[in-house]
Amino acid sequence: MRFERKNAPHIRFPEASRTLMINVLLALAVLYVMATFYYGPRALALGLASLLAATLTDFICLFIYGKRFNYRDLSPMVTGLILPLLMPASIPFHIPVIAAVFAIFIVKHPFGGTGHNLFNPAAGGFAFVAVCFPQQMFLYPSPMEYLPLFPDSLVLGTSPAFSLSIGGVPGYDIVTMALGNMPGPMGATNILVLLAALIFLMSRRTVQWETPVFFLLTAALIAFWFPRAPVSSTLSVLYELMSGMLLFGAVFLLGDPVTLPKRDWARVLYGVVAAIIVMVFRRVSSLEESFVFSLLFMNAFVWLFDLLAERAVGLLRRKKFETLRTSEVQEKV
Amino acid sequence: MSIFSKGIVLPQHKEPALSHNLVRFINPQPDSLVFTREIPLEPELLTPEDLIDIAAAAKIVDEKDGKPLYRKLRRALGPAAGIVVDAVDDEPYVSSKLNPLLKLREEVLGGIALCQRVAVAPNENVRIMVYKHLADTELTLPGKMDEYKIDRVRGGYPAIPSISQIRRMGRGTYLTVGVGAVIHFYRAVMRRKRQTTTFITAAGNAVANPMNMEVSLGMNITQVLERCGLSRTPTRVVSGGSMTGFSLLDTDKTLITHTTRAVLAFQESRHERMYSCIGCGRCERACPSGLNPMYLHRFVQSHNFASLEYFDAHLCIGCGTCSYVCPSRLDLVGSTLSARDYANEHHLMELADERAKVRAADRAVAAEKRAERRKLAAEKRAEQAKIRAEKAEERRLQREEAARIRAVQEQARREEAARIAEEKAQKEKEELERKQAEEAVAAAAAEAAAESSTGEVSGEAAENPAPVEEPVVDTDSPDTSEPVPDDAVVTDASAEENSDSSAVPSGEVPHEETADPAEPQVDDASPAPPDEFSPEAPPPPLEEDEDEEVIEVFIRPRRRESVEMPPSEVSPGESPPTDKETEGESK
Repeated sequence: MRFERKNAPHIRFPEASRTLMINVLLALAVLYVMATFYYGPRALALGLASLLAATLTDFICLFIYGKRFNYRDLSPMVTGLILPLLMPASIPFHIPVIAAVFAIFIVKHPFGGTGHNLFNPAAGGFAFVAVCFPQQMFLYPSPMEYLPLFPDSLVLGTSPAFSLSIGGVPGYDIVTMALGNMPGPMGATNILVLLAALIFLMSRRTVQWETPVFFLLTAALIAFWFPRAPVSSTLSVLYELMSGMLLFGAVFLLGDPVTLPKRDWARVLYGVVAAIIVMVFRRVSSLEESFVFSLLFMNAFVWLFDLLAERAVGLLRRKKFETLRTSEVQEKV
Repeated sequence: MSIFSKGIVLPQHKEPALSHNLVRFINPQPDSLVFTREIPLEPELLTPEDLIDIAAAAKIVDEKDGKPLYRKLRRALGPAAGIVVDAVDDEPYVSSKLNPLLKLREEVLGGIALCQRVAVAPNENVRIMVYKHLADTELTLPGKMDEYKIDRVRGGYPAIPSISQIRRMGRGTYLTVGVGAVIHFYRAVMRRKRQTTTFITAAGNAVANPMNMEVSLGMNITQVLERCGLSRTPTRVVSGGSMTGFSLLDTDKTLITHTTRAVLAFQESRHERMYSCIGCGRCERACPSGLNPMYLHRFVQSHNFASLEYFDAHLCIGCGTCSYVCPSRLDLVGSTLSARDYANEHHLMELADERAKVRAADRAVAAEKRAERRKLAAEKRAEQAKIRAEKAEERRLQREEAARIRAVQEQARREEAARIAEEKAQKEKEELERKQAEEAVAAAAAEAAAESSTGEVSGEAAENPAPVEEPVVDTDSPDTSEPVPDDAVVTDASAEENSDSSAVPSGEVPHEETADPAEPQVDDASPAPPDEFSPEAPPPPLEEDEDEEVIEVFIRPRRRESVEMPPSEVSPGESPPTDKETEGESK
C-alpha cells in the first residue's frame, strides 16, 4: 500500500475553528430569539441584512485579495450577526449594512483577513456608524412593541446608559433590567441570557475565561468604589454592569480570541486594564456608549501585552531549562 | 501558568488492544538464533559481568531509546540508587509496554531480579512506571507487583516523570530500562535466546482486530496489518505512536525494528487544513516546554528566522501537542521542528549565548567603571566636605576673633570716652577758671578802661578764642562713627550715660547733629566752645593752626581681622564703606 507523507500528529482534537464559530453563532441565535420576542420579526430581518452584507463583502474581499474562499470560515457571519445586536431595533436597514461592510472591508481584510485583524471588526464597524449616525444610533424603542419592517414615526426613548452618563439614575428596577425589558441595544439588554451565553462559551473554551471574568470583576469593583449615580454602591455595580453594552461586549467583543493576548497572565492583565479604561471612558466621555471606543483603544495595545508576557515566559523557560540541564548532568555524574 | 502545566490529557483509545492477550506473530526460528556461549547453566552462579556479556551477546536493544542494553547495564554496574522500569504508554492507541508487563508477568519480574544483580538496588527502589491517565480502560492496575512498586506518572500527554518522582529514591545512578528489554534479558539469561522479536500494538480505526503482538524483527508492516485485518481502506498508516510517529509511504518496504512501538492505520474522513490561525492561544497553553508555537509558525511561514532565538525553538521536544490542539489544523509541530532544526543548524543558541556573554562582559566592565566613578566621586565629596569643614572652622575662628576685637574696641572706646569726658570736664573747669580769670581780668580791665576807654577790649576778646573754633570743621567729617553697631551702643549706653552724666554736660548732645552721637570722643574736646563762639567769629583757616587740642583721627583702610591695635589708637574703621568714605576725605 502506498500513501502520502503526512506530518505528525496523526490524531487531532475534534474541535476546529468552525466549532468555535458555531458556538458563538449559537449564543447569538439565542439573543436573536430574545430580540424577536421583544421587538418583533424586524430584529431577525436586521440580522439577516447585516449577515448577508458581511458575507458578501467577505467574499468580494477574498476575491480582491486573491485568496481561496473557505466555506468553513464562519467569522464574517459572526461579525454580521453581532452588529445589529448593538443597535436599536428601530434602526434603518442601511446602517447595519454599512457597518458590516465597513467592518469587513476596512477593519478586517486590509490587515490580512481572518485571524490577522488588528481591531475587532464588529467594534470597528459599530464605531464607524456611531460616529456617522448618532441620531439613529442612540435612541431606542421601548420593548414589547412589535415594530413594522419600515417604521414611519416612532416614539423613541433613551436607555439607562444615557441616564447614567448624565449623572442620573435609571428608572428601572433590577429585575426588569436583568430580564432585558428596557430600551436599549437590541441584544445587549438581555442580561440573564448574556450571562448564560458567557458561561456556555467559557465552558466550551470558545471564550478564554480570564479576560471576561477579570474584566467584569474589575468593572464591578470600580463601580463599587466610585459610583457615578447617586445610589448605593451595590446598586451602582448592578446599574453599571447592566447598562449599555458592557456585558455583551465582554462576551462577544472582548472575548474575540483574535484580538486577545496569547498568554494567560497577559489576558488577565488585559481584562483588568480594559475594565479601567472602559470605566474611565464612561466617566469622562460625553458619549453614551463608549465601550466600543475603549475596546478599540485597548486592541491597539495587545502587542504590548504579548511582548511583555513573552519576555517574562522566556525568562522562566530559560531558568527551568537550566535547572533541568544541571539536574541531568548531576544524574549522569 | 502555561509553563508549569504538563501538557494535555488525550483520549486514550487503548482499550481493545490492551485487554486482549498478547499475540505471538513470529517467523519460524532456526537454532542459530540461540547464541552459543560458554556460560554456567545455573543462573544463580552468574556474575554481574557475565550478565552484561549475555546482554551483549543476545543483542538486546532497549525499545525505549534504542540503546543497547549491555551499555546501560555496564554504566549502572555496582550499587545504584534505583531501577526504573519504563512502562509508560502515554500516546493514544499504544499499549505495547503495558500489555507485556501485565501478560508476561513472570518474565518481567525475573528480568528485574537479574537487573538488580547488576545494578544493586533494594527492592523498594525498583519502580515500575506506568501512565496514570488510563481513564477509558476498565483495567485496574495493582499498587505492587511482587515487592516492586508501580508508580503512576502524572501529567498530561508528554508524560515526563517529574524529577521529584525520581529523586524520591535518592541520588546516584539509575538504571532505566523498558519492559521489552527486561523480558528479552530474562529470556537471554534463562533460555539463551537472542532478541529476535519486539512488542508492538496494531490499532487505529481502520484495523479490524486491534491487538498487541510480539512480532519478529524485520517483518514488514503489510504483514502485520494483514495479521490484524483491516476493516476499512486506510488513508494513513503510521509507524510509531499516534502523536510522534511517522506516516509511511510504502508499507511493503517498511520493516519492524527494535524501537517500533506501534503500527496504526487510520481512515480519515477528509483532509481539513484550510483555516487560518485565529490566535486562540491553545497551543501555548498546551506546550510542555512553554514555547509559543503560534509565533514560531508565523516566523517560519514568513522566513523570519532572525527572531527564532528569542523564542527558544531549540527547546521543542517534538511532542506534537500544539498541532493536536490547534483548532485551525495548522502544522505547528512541523514548523516548530523546522525552526528547531534551523536554530541547531545555524547555532543560533550558541550565538545568542555568546552574545549574552559579551553583553554580560560589557555590563561587568560598565559596572566596574561605574564603581570607579562612584568611588572617585565619593572621594571628591569627602574632600570637599573636609574643605568646607575647614572653612567653617576658619570662619568660626574669625567670627570669634572679630567678636573679641569688637569687645576690646568697645572697652577701649568706653575707656576713651571716659577719659575724654574727664579731660573735657577738666578742660571746662580750666576754661571756667580761665574765663573767670579773664572775666576778672576783663573786669579789672573794664575798670581800667572805664577809667581810660572801652574800644580795645572787644578786639582782644575776638582774637583769643580763634584756635578753639577749629573743631567746627571736624564736625563736617562724619568719618568714623556710623558703622558702630547699634547694640554696641545700647550695651555701652549705660556706661556712656554714667560717664556723660558724670562728666559731659547734657546740654551739648543735641548740638552734634552731623557727628555721630555714639562717638563723641573725636570732637568732644572742642564743640562746646565753638558753639558758643561761632556766631561771633568767622571760622579761621583750618588745620594749620590745629595743635594738641584736637584728637587726630587716623583713617586708614584695613582688614577687620588685622585690628590689633592698642586701644589708645582706636580708629573706628570697622566696615569697609566707611573706610572708603574716610579715605576719600583724608585725601
